Amino acid sequence: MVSVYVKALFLTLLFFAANFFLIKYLDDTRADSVSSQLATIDEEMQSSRILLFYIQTANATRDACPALEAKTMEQLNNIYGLARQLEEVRHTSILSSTEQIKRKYILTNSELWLYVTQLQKYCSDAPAGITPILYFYPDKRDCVECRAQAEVLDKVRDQCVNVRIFAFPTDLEIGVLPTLMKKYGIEKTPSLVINEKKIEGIVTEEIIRSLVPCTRKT
Amino acid sequence: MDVRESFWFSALVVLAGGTILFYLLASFVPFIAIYLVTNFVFIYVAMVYLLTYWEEKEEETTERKPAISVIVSAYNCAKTIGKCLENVLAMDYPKPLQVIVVEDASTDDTLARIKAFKKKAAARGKDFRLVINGKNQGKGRSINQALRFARGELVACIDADTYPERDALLKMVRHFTDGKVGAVIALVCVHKPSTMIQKIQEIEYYTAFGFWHTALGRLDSLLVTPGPMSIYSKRALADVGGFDADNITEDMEIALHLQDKGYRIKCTTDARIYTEVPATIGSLYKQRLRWLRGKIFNGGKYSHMLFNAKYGDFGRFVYPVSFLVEFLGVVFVARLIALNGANVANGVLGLLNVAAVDSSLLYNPGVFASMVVDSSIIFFALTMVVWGYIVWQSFKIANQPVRLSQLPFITVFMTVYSLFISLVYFSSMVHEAIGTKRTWGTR
Repeated sequence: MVSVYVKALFLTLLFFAANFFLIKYLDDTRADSVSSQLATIDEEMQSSRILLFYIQTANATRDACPALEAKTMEQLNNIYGLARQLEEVRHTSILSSTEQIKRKYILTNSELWLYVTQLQKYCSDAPAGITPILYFYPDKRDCVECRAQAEVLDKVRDQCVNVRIFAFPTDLEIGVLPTLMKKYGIEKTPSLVINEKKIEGIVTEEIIRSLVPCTRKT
Repeated sequence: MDVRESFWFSALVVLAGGTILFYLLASFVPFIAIYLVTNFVFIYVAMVYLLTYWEEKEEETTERKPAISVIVSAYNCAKTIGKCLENVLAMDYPKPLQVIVVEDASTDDTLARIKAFKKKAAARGKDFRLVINGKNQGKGRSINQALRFARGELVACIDADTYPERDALLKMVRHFTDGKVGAVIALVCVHKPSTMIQKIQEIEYYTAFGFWHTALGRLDSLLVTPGPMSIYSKRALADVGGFDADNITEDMEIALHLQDKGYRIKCTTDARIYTEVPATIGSLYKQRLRWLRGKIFNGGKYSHMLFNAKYGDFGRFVYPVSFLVEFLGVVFVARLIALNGANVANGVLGLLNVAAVDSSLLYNPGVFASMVVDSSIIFFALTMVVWGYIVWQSFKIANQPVRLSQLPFITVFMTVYSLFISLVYFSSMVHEAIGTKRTWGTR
C-alpha cells in the first residue's frame, strides 16, 4: 500500500508536467508566429536592398526612388505591429526564450531606419516625407518612465502618418547600436533623437508635436 | 497605554516590515519562482488531503450515552446569551444535562440576563448553576473554574454566541468510542450571515470545518477544538490540566495539548452548530490577528511536535505544513505586491507632483498584465480547479446547496480573501516578532 504522501506527490508532479507541456506548446506557438512574420519582412527587404544598391551605383534616383519608398513604407507598416506582439510574447512566456527573435527584430528595424535615412539622402523629392524619431530604452530592466514614453510615442505614431518610431535598446550590443549611441551621446533612458537632436528624459506629446510636422490621417 | 498597543504603531511597523520584505523579495527572487513553488506546495498539500478525503472509511461509533456537563463562559454577550442558553437547554439527550454558566465580570447586562434565565430553568426543573467571577478572568480560567463543578463524564464547552442544533449532542457523543478519544468537534456554521464579510465567512467555515477538518480528522491531526462548541472527555481534560488560563487561542492550545498527550480528536460533520461571526472587515482582522498570533505562540510552545514522527501524521506532516503554507502565502502576496509596487509608487509620486512625471502618463500594467495573462495562468487555473472542487465538496459535506447568489462570495473567498488572510498572517508574524501584548481584542 503506497502512502498517500507518495501518491499525492505523484499526482502533483503529473499535473505539473502536463501544465509544462501545455505552456511550452502555447509559448512556442506564439513565438513562432512572430518569428515567421519577421522572416517574411526580411525576405521582402531583399528587394529594398537591391533597389538601394541600384540607386547608389547607377545614381538612378528618378526611376528607383518611388519603388524604394513604397517598399520601405510597406515594411515599416508591417514591422510596426510586431514590436508590440514581441513584447507580449516576451512577457507571457515562461518556457521559451525570445532573445533571438528580439535581436533579429532590432537588426531588421535598424536596417529599415537606414533605408529611411538613405531615402532622405538620395530621394529628397520623395513625396511623403518621413520623420523618424529614435527612441532609446533599456531592454533588460524595467523603466517606468520608458513605458510612459512608449505610450506617448505610440499615440503620436497613430495620429501622424509621417512619423515613424525606431526603438533601440541601449543594453543590447548588436549591429549599429553602439555606434549610434556614441554618435548621439546617449547616456540616459529614456532618450529621444528628433531631427538629429538628443532629448533626455520623458518628453510629452505637446513637445514632440512642436518639434515634428504632423500629417494627420485623412 | 503602551505605545506598542496603538493601531498606528502596529500599522507603521507592519508597513516598514513589509517594505523591507518586498524590497528583498523583489531584488533577489523572480516572481515566477515563488509562484511555481507556492503552487506546487499548495497543490501537493491539497492532494494529500483530497486523497485522504476520498478514502472510503467507515467511522466507528458507539451508542453509549454518558452524562454530560455543559459549560458556557459568558462575557459581554447580553445580546446572544439568552438564545444560546435556550438552544443549550433544548438539545435532545436521554440523560439530564448539567449546565454551568460562568459570568466573567461583564460590563453590560449579561449577568441580569443569565439570572433571569436561571429562574426559568429552575422552574423547568433543569440543573443550572451560575458561577460569578468578581473580576474578569478570561475564557480559559473561567472554564477551568466551571470544570470543578462538572459531574459529567463528558464536558461540552459552548461559546455564549453559539447556537447548537437540537441533535448536536447526540450526534457528537456517538464518536466517544473509547478512552483514547479526548474530544469530538462538530461542523461550525455561520449564524444568519447578513454582511458581505459574513457571507464570505459562511463559505470559509464550510471549507474549514467541512472539508479540511474531515481530512485532518482522518489523519488524527486536528489542530483545534473550535471554541464555539467542542465536547471533551473530562478525564482527558484533567489529564492535561484543563485549559491554558492566559492563552489567547485556548481552543487551539487545548487541542495541541491533547495531541501531545496522545489523545485522539474526532470530527463529525453531521452535527451542526451556529455561531456569530465578525460583521466588518475591521473586527474580522482583529479576530484573525488573535487566532494567528495564537497559532504562532502555541507553535513555539509545542515546537517539539514539529517534524516528530512520534506524533504520526500530525507531527510529520500536518502541523509543520500548516506553518509552511502560511509562510508561503505571505511570501507570495509580498512578491505580488512588490511586482506592482514600483508602478503604484510612481503613480502616487506622480499624483503628488513629487516625480517630474505626469501621473496620467504612467502606464500601470497591474496585477493582470504580469500574472494572469501570461502562461502562468494555466497554473493559476489548476489551483482554482482544485480549490473550487474543495469548496464544492465542502458544501456537499455541509449538506448545503450552492446557491447562485453565493457565487460572487465564493469567487471573492477563493481569490481576494486568501490574499487578505495572508496579509493578516504577515501582520501576526510582525506582531509576534516585535512582541506587542497579546490581547483578546474582541471576544
